[in-house]
Amino acid sequence: MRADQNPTHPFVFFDLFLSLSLSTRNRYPYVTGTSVLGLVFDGGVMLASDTLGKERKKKKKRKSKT
Amino acid sequence: MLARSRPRPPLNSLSGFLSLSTLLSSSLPLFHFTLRSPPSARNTGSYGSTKRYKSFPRLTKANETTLVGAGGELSDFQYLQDLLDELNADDFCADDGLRRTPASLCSYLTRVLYNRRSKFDPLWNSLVVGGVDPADGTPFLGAVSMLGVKYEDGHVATGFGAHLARPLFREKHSKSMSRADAEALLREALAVCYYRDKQSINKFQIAVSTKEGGVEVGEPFALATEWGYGAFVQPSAHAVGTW
Repeated sequence: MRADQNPTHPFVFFDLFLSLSLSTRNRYPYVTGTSVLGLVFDGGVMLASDTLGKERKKKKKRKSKT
Repeated sequence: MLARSRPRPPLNSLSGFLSLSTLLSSSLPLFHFTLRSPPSARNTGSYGSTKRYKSFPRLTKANETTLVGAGGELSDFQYLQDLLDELNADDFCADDGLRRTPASLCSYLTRVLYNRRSKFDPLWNSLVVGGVDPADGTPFLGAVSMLGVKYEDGHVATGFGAHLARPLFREKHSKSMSRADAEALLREALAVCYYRDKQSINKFQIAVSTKEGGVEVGEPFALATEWGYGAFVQPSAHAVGTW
């Protein structure tokens, strides 16, 4: 039985500790790809894309001037 | 929600200072950050939108006749590939000779994305699913958004390509075009996307699914580009009011 299924297992508290303190999640995509194109032709389908994994553009939070 | 929020670094902290000197985007004035560290301080340092992984195959074979292409978060796409691998293993273990069709895989991915969207934990992908029906060779092409909305058409594009490439497709595409014509049209559309989309590089892949040949994912290639056009050299020459 895994630790998270057993409420009396001591790791449960460790997991809880981790989830409350150290663990963070990305709420926005981090490594992204851009467009994918697709076409139907006579007898098949063709897809195309580039091969880039781009790191995230950071969100700029500007204070409004009003 | 508690676990999801990152701790804000203290004012004037080292991370805030580092981001001040190294991570500033040039368009923001400096004095914004002397009092308060920017939101970017919470991330590890990356220089704006870095072109980090230049050989990431975003087109994959989902099964013998189906291709899946993805935009958006690529780790989420890798998770989806794992799900598709499980489906393939199930198909193999059933040993009944039946394989999932492109249409059913497209529906499946739509359900997965919609389910995750409904948990407020979306998989951040726009997918294109294409392939031929293994039984009768009917082509299928569909696009799935990250909110679990799909459409099918003779030509699809996600992201910026929906604005840059689809007008070309509407003009020149027909379902009865030959394979060579389709590839030429795709290359033309890729060139337009490369010229106009900042987030792309000149390294492309084309993948084909046919009834006879199955799925072929091509080798990466580069397009010949020409940056000497007047509009590229002097972007503001004929645009009144810009700079």
